[in-house]
Amino acid sequence: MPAHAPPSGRRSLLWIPLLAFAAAYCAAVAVFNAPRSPARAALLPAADRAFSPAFGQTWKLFASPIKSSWSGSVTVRGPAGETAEGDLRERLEHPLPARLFSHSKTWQLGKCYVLHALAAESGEPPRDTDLSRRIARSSCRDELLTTPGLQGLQPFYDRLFTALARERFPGRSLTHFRVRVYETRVRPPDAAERPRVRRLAIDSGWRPIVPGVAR
Amino acid sequence: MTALPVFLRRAEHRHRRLIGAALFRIVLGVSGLEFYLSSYPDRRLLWGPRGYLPHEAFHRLVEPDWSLYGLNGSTPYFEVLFHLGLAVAAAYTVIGGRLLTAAHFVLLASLYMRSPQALDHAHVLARIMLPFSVATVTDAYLSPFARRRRARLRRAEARPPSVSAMAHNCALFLMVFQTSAVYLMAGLWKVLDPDWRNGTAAYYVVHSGLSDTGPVAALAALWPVTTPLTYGTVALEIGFPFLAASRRRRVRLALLSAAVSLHVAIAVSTPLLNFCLVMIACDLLVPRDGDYRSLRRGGWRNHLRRGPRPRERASAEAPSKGPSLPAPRRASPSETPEPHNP
Repeated sequence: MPAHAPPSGRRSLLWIPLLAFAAAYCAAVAVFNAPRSPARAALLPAADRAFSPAFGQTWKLFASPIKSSWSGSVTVRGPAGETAEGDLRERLEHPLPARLFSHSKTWQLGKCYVLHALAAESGEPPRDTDLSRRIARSSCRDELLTTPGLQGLQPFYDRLFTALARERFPGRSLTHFRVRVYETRVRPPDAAERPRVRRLAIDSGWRPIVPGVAR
Repeated sequence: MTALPVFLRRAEHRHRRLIGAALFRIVLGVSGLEFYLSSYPDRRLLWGPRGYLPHEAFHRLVEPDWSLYGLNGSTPYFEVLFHLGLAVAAAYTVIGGRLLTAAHFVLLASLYMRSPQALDHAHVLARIMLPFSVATVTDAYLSPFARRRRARLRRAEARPPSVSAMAHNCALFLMVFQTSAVYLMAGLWKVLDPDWRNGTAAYYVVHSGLSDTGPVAALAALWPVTTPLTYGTVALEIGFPFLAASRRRRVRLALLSAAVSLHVAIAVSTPLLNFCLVMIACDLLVPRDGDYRSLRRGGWRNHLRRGPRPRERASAEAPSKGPSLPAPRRASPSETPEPHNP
């Protein structure tokens, strides 16, 4: 049979579902990624029904460069009121040689905490606290524009920082912890000689240690 | 009107891009292993039943919650499943094959789902690519059983239509399409941002990820470095789908080297190693088998030594107006075109 013979019979039966799926998938990807428009609004429910959440997607990779670096500290308080402070930076973010070999997941959680806490401070009403959407649309970074407040998520951040505080001060009896996050703005390229300014961006206040969190 | 039938006919005869699929498997497998191992000491906090997101809260908040980690709330069950996932990720990386790909996908997607906030874009892309990868042949090269696998493929291809080849080629087309969509959208979103438009975005990316000191940061503060880097990134991302579809081998290989270089630079300057590994895995799907073979035979060196191919030289020397006949090509096994790759 010549190589350019058209598909027929059994071959057509095999190709039809494959091509139909491929065409539907390509169309759904186009709809998921299209800018807001009446056409997208009309087609999105069908694309969502067929391919969300497994194939839902947005790809704003570095679309708005982050202009700050973040560092944090945790202060703990014991039953007698004694306090101690420890740095969280190395715990959340691996230094350069180590980061070439591993990607810190706690850094990812810390980044979500910063975004949610800043949104809560700004008084924005809590909107999207649905974790499922994060599965479909990747990290909380995508929800930067529709940021949820801390309500609903605070208990989970308490568990995270309890574990980090216990790790930072092993063997000590702890009753409360307090997380402070500092923001250092990146200087604009035309003001590189100016000193970097570090400011306290988030202060969790004293929060009780959560019992029973695994390490 | 005969283009589609011819395309389909060829797609059911031969498995295409087998070397790219094998490289994709290895790099994506390494990214999966990195995901398991980099947080190994934190596994109970990140994904365990008494960790950051407890078992009952996971079922209450996350929908769908079909994760295997949600089936049981005991720590021993979690430990067994986590270590099983680690072992399957290692086997997938080394051996490949459809069964191991499916197992790796189910276990890794379960882990992703268990702690959604610990994810970034790369994990989403990996989760989208892996189910397509189940339909592809990823173990025909760079696998302990590659020789046997290729013999089986040859037998299947001798009796067309090969369902395996059809599924493989269709899935690979969708994977390259998805990769192109990622690049195109990332580039278009960047065009909307003023820092990408004024050529300073690369400066901010490097300085927020590193610090203001060190050689990389100092280099990124120089506008002759930052501005071309910023505009080059946008041009690469927007041009990716068009360059990936090019019929010219040199273009596809140049695109691969540019995309891999970009992600190596991101891995050095930001704490996003896993993201870079997944993107590099997807980039490796773009070249065709002939492209990789030409690299092995020193295709770049030959090209530089010989200069442009006769057809390119002829078209460059042709008068600017009026149609011209294609010049005769010198037959070379390293330049055998594969125009019908999906």
